[in-house]
Amino acid sequence: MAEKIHAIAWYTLLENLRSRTLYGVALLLLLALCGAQFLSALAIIETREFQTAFLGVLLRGSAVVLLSLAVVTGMARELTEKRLELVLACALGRGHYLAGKFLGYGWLALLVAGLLALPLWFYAPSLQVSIWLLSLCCELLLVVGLALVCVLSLGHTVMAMLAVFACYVLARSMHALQLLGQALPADGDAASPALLSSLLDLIAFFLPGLDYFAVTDWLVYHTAGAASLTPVLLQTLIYIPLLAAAALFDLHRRNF
Amino acid sequence: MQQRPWRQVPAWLRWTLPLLLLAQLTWHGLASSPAAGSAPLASAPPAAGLRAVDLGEHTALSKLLMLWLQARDGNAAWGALDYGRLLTWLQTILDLDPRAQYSLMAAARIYTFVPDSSRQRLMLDWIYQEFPRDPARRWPWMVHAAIVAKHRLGDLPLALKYSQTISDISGKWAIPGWARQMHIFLLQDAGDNAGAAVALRALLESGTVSNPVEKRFLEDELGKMRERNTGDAGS
Repeated sequence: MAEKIHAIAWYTLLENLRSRTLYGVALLLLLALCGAQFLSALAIIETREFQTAFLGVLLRGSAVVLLSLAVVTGMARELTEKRLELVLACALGRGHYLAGKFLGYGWLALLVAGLLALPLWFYAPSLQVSIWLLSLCCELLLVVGLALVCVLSLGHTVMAMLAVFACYVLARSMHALQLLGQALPADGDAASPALLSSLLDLIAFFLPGLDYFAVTDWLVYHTAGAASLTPVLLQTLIYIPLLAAAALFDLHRRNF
Repeated sequence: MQQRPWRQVPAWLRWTLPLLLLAQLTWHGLASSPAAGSAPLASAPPAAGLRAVDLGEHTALSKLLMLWLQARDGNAAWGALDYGRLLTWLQTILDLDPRAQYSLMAAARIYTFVPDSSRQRLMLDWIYQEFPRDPARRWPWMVHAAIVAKHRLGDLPLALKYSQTISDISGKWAIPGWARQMHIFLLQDAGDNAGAAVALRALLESGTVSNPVEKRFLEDELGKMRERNTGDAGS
């Protein structure tokens, strides 16, 4: 069965490589480097810090968008072209199919992260880039899982993309939103700020703590250590199985 | 993917496409280029609000805002800038990334070039307020503020206040000796030789000066000050 899972993973990766994903990565790298050079011409001091922060944000954001698009469009095509039904008609369980897809997109995520992080080795110390890259890989694996859940449950490209981006933005901003919620002024109607704050806290329980992942300060101020990876790895280890279980749950309920 | 030759495209479309492109180029050429700083500067939103929407990228947002602010006022005369609002932006930028030096540098070295002492004082006072929050990183801008106060504003008491702050706070932080000793020489400039001698003796007795050459130089200076003080007392 492992061979079948690997075959699905390999063809998923191959499909993405043949759809010129790597050209897109190369273009992104070129644009990011040009942007960094442009910033270096503008900044009077802290030029390296400006370039590193810009590259870190742009490359991470690009990787997230690229991966979500690849997963959502690839899976939506799989559903509309009835390829999924064809695969499931073989002696293959739904869980194995999902495992193969997740593995394939996971390989793609690692490849994209590794390529997009290339320029950072010239701007920040190796240890910091290594920690940042490992953290980015975990973040992209979470994005892959999230995109799989969204596309399998919603089945529609636009809706699935919107759901992925909404969840990602919410997960990234949740810590700041919670702080804002706590700072809400208590008016005469004291229940509403407290209720809003509690609601934000409740939503935060269900979202991955993405604000620990691939922090730009690590690249700019070299503040990352081995301890920085602990929450990242723990969160990944908890949330990826959760996403996989949710996607599998939905796939099992789907009637073909 | 095989493509049909371009001759297969209808003739009207072959002509329309370049014409439309030409229309776009003409339109863009006629439109005025964007001008930085054309609208008055509004007050900055609080850092807490920006943190909620920057997806956790406080450092990057702070740096982009600083470049935007710099580009914005680059074409405008600083005299026309509302320094109160400018200060809110510098504060927000620093709050978003407290380790960054750029906003403090801009306050000390760029915005104090305005020929208006009240605006210069606004910038210097902001640096003075922000300095104790991170003396190890921010001391160069405090030193610069003292220099601006002395040489550009001609306000020696203000320069003394700033340099005294560096000296008072420097014990726990890695601040170079020359910055810590600045207030002693400013006291001398102010004609307070007795005060300068007391401050220098306190510095030497504190044991913070470890370099023997520096120590000998300061001891010589202390000797000269004492001689001058004796001479002043005699006359």
